[in-house]
Amino acid sequence: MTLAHYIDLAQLLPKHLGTHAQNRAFGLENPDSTPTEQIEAWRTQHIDRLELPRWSDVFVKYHYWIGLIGGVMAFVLGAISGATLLSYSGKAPVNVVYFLALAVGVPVVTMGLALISMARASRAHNVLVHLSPASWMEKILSRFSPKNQETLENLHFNPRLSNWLVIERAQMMAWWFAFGVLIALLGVVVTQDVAFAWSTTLSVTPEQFHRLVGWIAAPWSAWLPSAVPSVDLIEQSQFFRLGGKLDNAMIHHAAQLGQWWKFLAMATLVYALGLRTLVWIAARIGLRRSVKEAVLTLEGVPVLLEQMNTPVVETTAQQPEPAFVQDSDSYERRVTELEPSYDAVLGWAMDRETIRVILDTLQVETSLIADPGGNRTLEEDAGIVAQITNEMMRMTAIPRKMWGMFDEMRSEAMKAMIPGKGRSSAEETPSQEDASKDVLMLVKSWEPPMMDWVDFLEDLAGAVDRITVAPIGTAEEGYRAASRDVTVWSRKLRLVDLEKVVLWQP
Amino acid sequence: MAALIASPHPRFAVVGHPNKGKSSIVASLAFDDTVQISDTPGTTTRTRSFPLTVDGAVLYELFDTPGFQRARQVLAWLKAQDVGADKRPEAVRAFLRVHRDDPKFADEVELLTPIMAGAGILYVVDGSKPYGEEYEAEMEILRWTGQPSMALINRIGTEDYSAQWEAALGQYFKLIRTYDPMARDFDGHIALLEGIAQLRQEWMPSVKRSIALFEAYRQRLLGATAQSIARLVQRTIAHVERLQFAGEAPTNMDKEKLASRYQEHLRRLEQREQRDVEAIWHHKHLDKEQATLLFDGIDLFSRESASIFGLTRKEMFVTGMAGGAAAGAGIDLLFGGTTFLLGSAIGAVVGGVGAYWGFEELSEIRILGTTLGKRSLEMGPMTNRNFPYILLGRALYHAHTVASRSHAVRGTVQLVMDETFKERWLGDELRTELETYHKTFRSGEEPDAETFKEYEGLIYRSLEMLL
Repeated sequence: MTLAHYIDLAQLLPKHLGTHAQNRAFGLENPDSTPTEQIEAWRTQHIDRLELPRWSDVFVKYHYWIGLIGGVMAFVLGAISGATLLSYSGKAPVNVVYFLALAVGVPVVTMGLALISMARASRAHNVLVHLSPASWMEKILSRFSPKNQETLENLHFNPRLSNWLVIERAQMMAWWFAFGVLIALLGVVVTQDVAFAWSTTLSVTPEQFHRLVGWIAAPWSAWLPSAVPSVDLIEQSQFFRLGGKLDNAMIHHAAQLGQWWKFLAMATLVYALGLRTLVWIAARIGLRRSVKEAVLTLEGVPVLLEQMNTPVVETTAQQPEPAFVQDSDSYERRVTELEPSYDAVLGWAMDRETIRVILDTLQVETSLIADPGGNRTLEEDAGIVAQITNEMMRMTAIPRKMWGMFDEMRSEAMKAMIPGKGRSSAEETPSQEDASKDVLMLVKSWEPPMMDWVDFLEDLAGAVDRITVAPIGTAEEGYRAASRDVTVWSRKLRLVDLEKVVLWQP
Repeated sequence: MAALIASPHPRFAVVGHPNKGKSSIVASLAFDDTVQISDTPGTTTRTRSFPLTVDGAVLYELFDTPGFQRARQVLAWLKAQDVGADKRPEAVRAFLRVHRDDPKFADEVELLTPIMAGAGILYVVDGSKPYGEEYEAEMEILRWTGQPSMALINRIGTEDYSAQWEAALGQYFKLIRTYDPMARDFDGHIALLEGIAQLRQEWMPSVKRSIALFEAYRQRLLGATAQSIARLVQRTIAHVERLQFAGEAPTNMDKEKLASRYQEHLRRLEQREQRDVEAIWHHKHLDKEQATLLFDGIDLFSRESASIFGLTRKEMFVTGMAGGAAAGAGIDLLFGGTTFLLGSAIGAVVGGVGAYWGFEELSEIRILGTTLGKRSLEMGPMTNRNFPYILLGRALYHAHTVASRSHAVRGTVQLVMDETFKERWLGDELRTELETYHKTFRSGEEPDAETFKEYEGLIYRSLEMLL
């Protein structure tokens, strides 16, 4: 997993994350992989979906050029610094203390800071990182790359990854700087006859300085003793600026003063370059790890991994439901009050006792009560319709001879019909003058009107002049129907649209 | 439908009278808030399949069916066939063959087809309304199908006629269960599935596997919700809004503009998180009413608001003290106790005072130095120590409401918290634990994956406790 891969994922995920099903299918194809391997495999499969040039192309190119420019600048700066420190006029020797400070002191201190930065790389606001020359150099150089600005602005690196990028680049630059210093040293040594000496304001004896040099040279003293200055050389090369001229002893041993260069070259090689190489490698390892970690925290990656590794559970319907269009609530043929009496009262799917109680409650009288629906057979229902038809015809003075056609049905219907309560038995057969042909049909308001009832209603409508449908509530509700239940009946009647049917909606 | 006939997995048809909550039960069991549910009979006109699939493999399948419309006529037709008990399923099949294209029996054909294709029967009645004899024809037809069946008493209203229903249903069904699709009751859901598993021996493994899957699935949804909430809190606290301005010093208008942008961004984060949580729990069509996340000093940080949503000043003080003392204790330990707990004491005082005075501070507006000739204002990360608790309280309340809402429920949900909600999830111990993470978020540092997981874990625990 490289930085370019991280950038590819940052570009791919927002637009091409895919569905859970697609990602799960991919996960099942790569079952035994680590999360990083799964993400890398996913990137490889989807990389062609990105338009060219990809952000990673732009960034890698930019990163390369920034690195190259930084490296060249650091090398040049190192070479100039080295050459400046080693510049020898012939009047005074070159003070090795300056060079040691540059080749050992500065690298050790900056490497120490680099290690602290690495240890604190997890902090988004890492001051050391932001103070690094690599960080500033990138900020300045990025201003000279307006063409890539748009792409670079889209990139929001994980702060830790940004820290590691700066740390790694700083080590690279420091390495090239040290290399520049070494080249300068070798160049000066080859091209000039440089006399080295050491000088310090501090009261340091040659023995003490030898000890210091011995510590510095410890890494190579065993296998390259010629690169370790002896006590004699140190004594002979101590230089006191006071007096303004070389002392005679130094001039006498001028040939030996040049031997310092081996020590300086080894110090540069071991500390400025060798140790820096190790720190640089550590920074690269840290960067690589950081890329891997950053990939896993990239927006969309946790979701992608979860989708790859968890089964797709679907519970919902796979096909859309046809939209249900709600009809109007109102049914135009309505009455708000019931008549005091009806020719017949039918209680749909109700028992007779209940019908009587309801009629008492509603203060409605009738000559006939019937209880169609419920667990009655269709024949019984038909018998009730026939009976009512019979009664209506009798009232409208249809010749008696026609009554016979209903007799058979009537006998069935009689089982389902009982005399009404409000009239005496003498009144059960209405007189011809009684013109009322109204039927009251009680229905359970909480039960929806079904086609079974509609069929009966249509049959009944053929036999009477008017049917008043009265939705009734439960006994606990005092037989008063809830308005939303009445609305359901109203909608149904509107659909059925029978002219003789009215709805009681108090 | 023909394709389903050959499928080997268990299938269950939810059947019954129109308007008795069949679709509600299916919506609830299938976590599908798109099922059309209304009080108008005939809303469901076609049988719909709701398969439970895992990686494409169907574990079981539910069918939402239209209600019976002409049950007595169907029964009369069946009885007219004059067949013995062993031939009754054949008679039902014959009915389907004869009336397949008959519009008069369209609903009956729709509902009987999956049953005769092998689906178990879940017969639904409304236990809040009295039993009626008109149901007997339906139950008799279902008996004629010969398929394993179970009755579900669904109480739509407040009255209870369950005893009547149980007496009647017991004549036709061996298994009778009560199920309220309006109450999002996970245990009830599982109990229903366990009941269904008993319908036929060979369905048991598949339904049992589904039960285990649902349990794991619920954990996953909870985990995803906790992750979403944790991300919201972290992002909200860590957010930094910047505004460039011209001239030497920013105007008040610049500052107001920055504050407004900052607050708007936080609101958007909350809205996005809520949408995510609704999607996680399959409530994409949720219609909700909720007070906006307010930032005005009076509204957000009033004692009333704090006591409902976040911490009171006193609670904040105690939490700050506890956090400070914990940090100071580290120093004491470092010195092997020779500091006589001075570190803890100083830490407690610093933490407590900081929390006390930081109670009403949202985030200061800073002026950043010149950057290549431009100056900018910056606001964030959130320094108000109470705000994370307010945000967390709101997010948990929203998630709890969404997660416990049945998919059968329609209409607007009112997100109005009361003071007791905070007591349900936020204890002293949790508050101290949360504060450690909020401190990390406030520092602007990107929390590592482990830290974030730990924080998610705390939220997960709270959610689990609430649900």
